[in-house]
This record gives sequence, C-alpha cells and structure tokens, in this order.
Amino acid sequence: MLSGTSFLNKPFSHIYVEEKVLADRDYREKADEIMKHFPKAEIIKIDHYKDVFNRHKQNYVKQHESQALILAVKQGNLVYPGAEVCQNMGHKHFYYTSCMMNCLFDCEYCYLKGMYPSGNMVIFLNLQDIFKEVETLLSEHPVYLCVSYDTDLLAIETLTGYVSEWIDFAASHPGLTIEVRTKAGNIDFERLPADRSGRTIFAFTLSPDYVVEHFEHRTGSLGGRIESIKRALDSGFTVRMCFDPMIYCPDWKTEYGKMMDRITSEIPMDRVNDVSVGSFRLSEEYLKSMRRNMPDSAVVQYPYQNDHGVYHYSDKLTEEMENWMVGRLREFVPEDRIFRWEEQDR
Amino acid sequence: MVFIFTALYPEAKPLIKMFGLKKRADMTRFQQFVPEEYLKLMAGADGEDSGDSKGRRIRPEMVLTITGVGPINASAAVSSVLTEYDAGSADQLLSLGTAAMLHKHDGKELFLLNKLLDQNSDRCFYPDMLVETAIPEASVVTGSQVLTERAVMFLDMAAGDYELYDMEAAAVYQAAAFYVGPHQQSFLRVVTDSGISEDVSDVKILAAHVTDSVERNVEQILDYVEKLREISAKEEERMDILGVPEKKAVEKVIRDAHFSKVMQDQFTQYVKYGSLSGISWMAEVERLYEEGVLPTVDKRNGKKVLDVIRNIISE
Ligand code: SF4
Repeated sequence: MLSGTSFLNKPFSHIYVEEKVLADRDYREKADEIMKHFPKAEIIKIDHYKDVFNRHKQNYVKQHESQALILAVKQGNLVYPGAEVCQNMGHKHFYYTSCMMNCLFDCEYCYLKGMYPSGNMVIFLNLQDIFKEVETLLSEHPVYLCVSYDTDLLAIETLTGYVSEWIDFAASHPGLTIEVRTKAGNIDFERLPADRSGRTIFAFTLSPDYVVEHFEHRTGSLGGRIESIKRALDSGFTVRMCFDPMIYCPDWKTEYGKMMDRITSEIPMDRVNDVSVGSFRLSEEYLKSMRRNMPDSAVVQYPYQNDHGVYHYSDKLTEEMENWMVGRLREFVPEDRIFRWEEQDR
Repeated sequence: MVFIFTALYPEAKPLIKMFGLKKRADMTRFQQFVPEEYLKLMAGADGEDSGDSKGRRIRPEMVLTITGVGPINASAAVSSVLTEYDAGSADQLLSLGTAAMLHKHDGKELFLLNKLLDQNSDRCFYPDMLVETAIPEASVVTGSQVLTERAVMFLDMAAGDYELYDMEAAAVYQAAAFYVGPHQQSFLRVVTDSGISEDVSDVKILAAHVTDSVERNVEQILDYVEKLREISAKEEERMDILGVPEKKAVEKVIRDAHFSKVMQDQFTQYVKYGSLSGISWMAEVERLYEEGVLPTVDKRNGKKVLDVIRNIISE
C-alpha cells in the first residue's frame, strides 16, 4: 500500500508551530523539547493548527508517508464521553481524551484515515488543561478514561513523555482509571513510572503476523507486542488483551490459531486482567472516504456488509470469527473477563 | 500529469528548451507548451479527442502555461488549464517564477515555498512539503503590485517573518485548490532582485536577467520536476487496480449476468478485493462460462453468479 517512492520527506521533516505555543513560556519549553529530536526539521509558524490540518482536498495517505508534525494548544472540550462503537468494558463513566490527533503507526484499516481530513500529526501541548477537566469530572463521579484515543500515545512516548505523565496523574487521583491502548512492541517499561495505583491499564491490540505484515505498518511485530505484555506484567501494570479488530484474511483460522498458540504459550494468561474480542467494523462515511483514497488496500476494499451506516463482515463470518476466538480464550480466561463487542452496541 | 505555470516567457524558456516542449498553436488565450509527441498524437486524432487503451482521454505528460503577471492572470490561467485537462488526484502542479528577496538568505537563489501569504486577504496557505530536496525553503508574500526597492524596505518591517515577495504564488494556490489538494502543489521561486529599482526601463535586459537566473538553477528545477513526474505516474498506477484483461472480464460478466446496478457495484467490489488479495476470481469466471452458468438468462440466475464469486473471495 505504501508508494515506495524513495525521495519523499521522512516523517517530521516539517514541524508547524502555533504562534500561541511560541508566545507562552511553558508551551514553548515543551515544544523545544520535542523539536530538539529533529534538529534538521523545517519549522513553520502558523496561526492555528486548523489552518494546516483542516485544508481542503488533503490526501491522508500521501501525507502520512511524509507525516508533518503540528504543535498546538487545544481549545474547547478536551474530554468526551465514549463513542458507541467502542467497548466500555463494563464501566459506567467511560470517557476518552485526545492529547494528539493521528498516529505514527500506519494501520491500513485505521478509522482515523476516514475521520480526519489530514494525515499529519497534531500534538497538543496543554496536557495540564486536560488534567484540570478530568479533575472536574472526578469531583462528580469516578472516571474511566481512554487516554490513547485517536492515536497511539506510546508510539511517540520518547517525544512527549505523556504516558508517564498520565500514569503519575492517575496514581494521584483515586477515582481515575486510565487505559493506554497500543500496538507498540518491545516497550521499555523501565522508562515509565511504576504503577503504584493499579489503575493504569495497558491494553495491547494483538494481531497475527499476516495481519501485522500486510495491514499494520510500522507497528510492533506480534513477537514485540508479546514482549511488551510480558514486561508490563513484570512491571506490575494491569494488562488487557484486545483481539479487536479481528481482521479477515485468507486462511484466517490458521493465522489466528498460530497467534493464539504463541500467546498462550508465552504469556501467563492467568495474570491478564481481561480480554476484548471484536471483528472489524467501521462507519459508512469513513469507509467511503478510505476506499477513495486507498484503492490498493485489500482490507479497505473488502466487500463489507452495510447495516444502518456501519460496515462489518457478514453476520455469518462475524459470528464464526468471534466465536472461534472466544472459544480459544475460554480455555485460559474466565468467561466473565472476556468482553465481546455486542450487536446492541452498534 | 504535471502542470507547470510561470508568469513570463523568460522564466519558462530554459524549461521549454530542456524538456523539448512545443507551443500549442490552437491555444490563443494563454500560451501553452506540451511535448511534441502529444501534438503529433492530437494531429493524428484529426482534431477529435482520442482515448487510450483504457478508454481514457489522452493527456500530455506535461503542460507548461504562461499565465501573465499578477494574481488575477495567474488564477485565470490556472483555472482555465486545470479545467481543460480535467486535473485529477494523480496530477501534480508546479508554479515556477521569480521573486524579490525581502530578507537576506545566504546568497541562495532558488527556494521552495512552504507558506504563502495573500497580502490582499491576509490569509495564509500551506502547500504540503512532501518531496525531499536540497532546495532551501522560504515563505512568500504575494501582492498585486511590482515592488520598488523602497516598498521592499517597508515590507521588511511590515511582514518581517516572510522572506520573499512575488505576485502569483498565493493566487495560484487558491485557484488550484478548486481542483487539486495541497499535496499536489509545489512552488519554486528564483530570486532575481530586491525590488525593482525605479530606473529600470529596458525590458529586454530585465527578461535576459530573469532567464539567466532560472538557467543558473535549472538542474535543481529539472530534478524537482522529475520527482513530480514520478509521483504522478506512481499515483496513476496506484489508482488503477484492475488491469486491462480484468476490466474486460468485469465488463463481460456484467453484460452476461444481467446484473442490476447494485449487483454490478457488488461484483466490482468483490473482484477488486479478489485482485488485491491474490484470489484468482478470473479462473472461477472462466469455469462459470465453461459450465454454461454464464451467460445467464435473467437477473435471478445472475444472483447465483454473484454468490459464487462472493464465496470464493470472502468466506
Ligand atoms: S495503532 Fe491504532 S491509532 Fe495508530 S494507526 Fe493503528 S489503529 Fe490507528
């Protein structure tokens, strides 16, 4: 799917910086910290991140190949109630927040490719404002918060240090549980603060080698992700395994079977907090735009079934894939810790 | 396809020479230069639009247009040419021109623009910077007047963040944005002056100076154009998933299976996925013909064909 053109700029060769970032001492310091990783980058001053991010007729795929970085200050609402197409894992006060938009990783089926007008990455530097908004919610009720939403925060932890900040923040706010979802491999947990609270959940999305190689570009390999899980467990973090989205591929049972054999032989499954299972689904609007931009992506061009604006595999295939996975998991994980994405959530 | 726009002939002259472009005699409003083979092809088509083997209208690989000076001329020409050739998602546009230097820039002459300020509307535009190149980058103010040296001194204070001044870039961007995205637009400027001194009166000398300046940087410009050509060709390829035999097979099945419009779309989606996943749906189609399932007598039997194809590609 990648163009293979050798003379395209490397990611972050260009960094757009909002003027308000440059005008504020704290934001500027954070921006400088990030920018020092890219000493050769061209720095372009902008008024508002939307001037670059929301331009007309952008091409997500082209931009993602030479992804530019935008450093900005987020305004308006910073924390949102969870969307319906996401599992809430039994939590009543389920929220998500995006301290970044877009991802360094490049999964072909990623909904961000249909949702955002641009493939460039935005990092919001006012994490403290998000913390304040979470504190307001916490004064009313406990909060379950997905912090690695619309991105993979761990993919650029060395740049931002945001996961570390979230772990510390969760530890000092008893009503708060955070979920950090990732596809990163070989994560260096030594560099993250120890989890004293048990309220930081690392949710690892796991896919067979075939799916990683064909559709999840730049992400950690299956082996790398297994290693991350082992390290997370050793560091005392709560671990969730996500077999979501399950992606159909020719001979999917063999591919997923090999993956499960490997996972269950290498990871102490009794120490995994819970697992989630769901097959690929995507809103009609996003898929349509992705099909236009990615005519050469098999996972995007798959002939999904459209039900009330949501594309998914046929009911038969969905049942078959998800039942198969749940069946395999039941051998290792108690039923009440397997969360399956249910039809009524659609 | 690559669209090149310059304001003046002297700016275009070195490129016309290097690419061996020829003037389109049938274009009277804006001067247009295209590869000679294209002119021959069009002459052979007897004045009528000819199509390629895939039935698409033949377009030149490159077209260079002289727009005239200033934002109005530039936008009129861009709009006219992009409409004429039906610019699409695989095309690339290069605006090449000259500019006045507002700030010193280490003696460099050629710049790739990353920020374009429209002086009239005070709006900024940002072309995507996708191509790796050694050409230094700069920002530009686009105005509608020729700058005098005195005006440059004033702008130096008023638009302190901007390095160059020109009269087309922001206008080209805005007009082109109706047709193509920011990832399809590039802007190269050769610095020829720091504002025109008020005593310049010899247009010939000025033109020669402009051509010389472009010529001195022609290698880098050509290299950039080559990269745009490659990007465009690759994108064209990427958009075209089914080869000619596959497309023909799709058309034949659609004809022979009495598919409704919805069924046609489904079938096309199945075979697209099949081709991308390396599933040999063509062999299955051949089998259906051999077994007499295809052609079908009606739509109801066409549904059976659709089911067979769906089963082999997805479950
Ligand atoms: S890791 Fe997640 S957010 Fe990143 S590209 Fe893949 S699916 Fe999208």
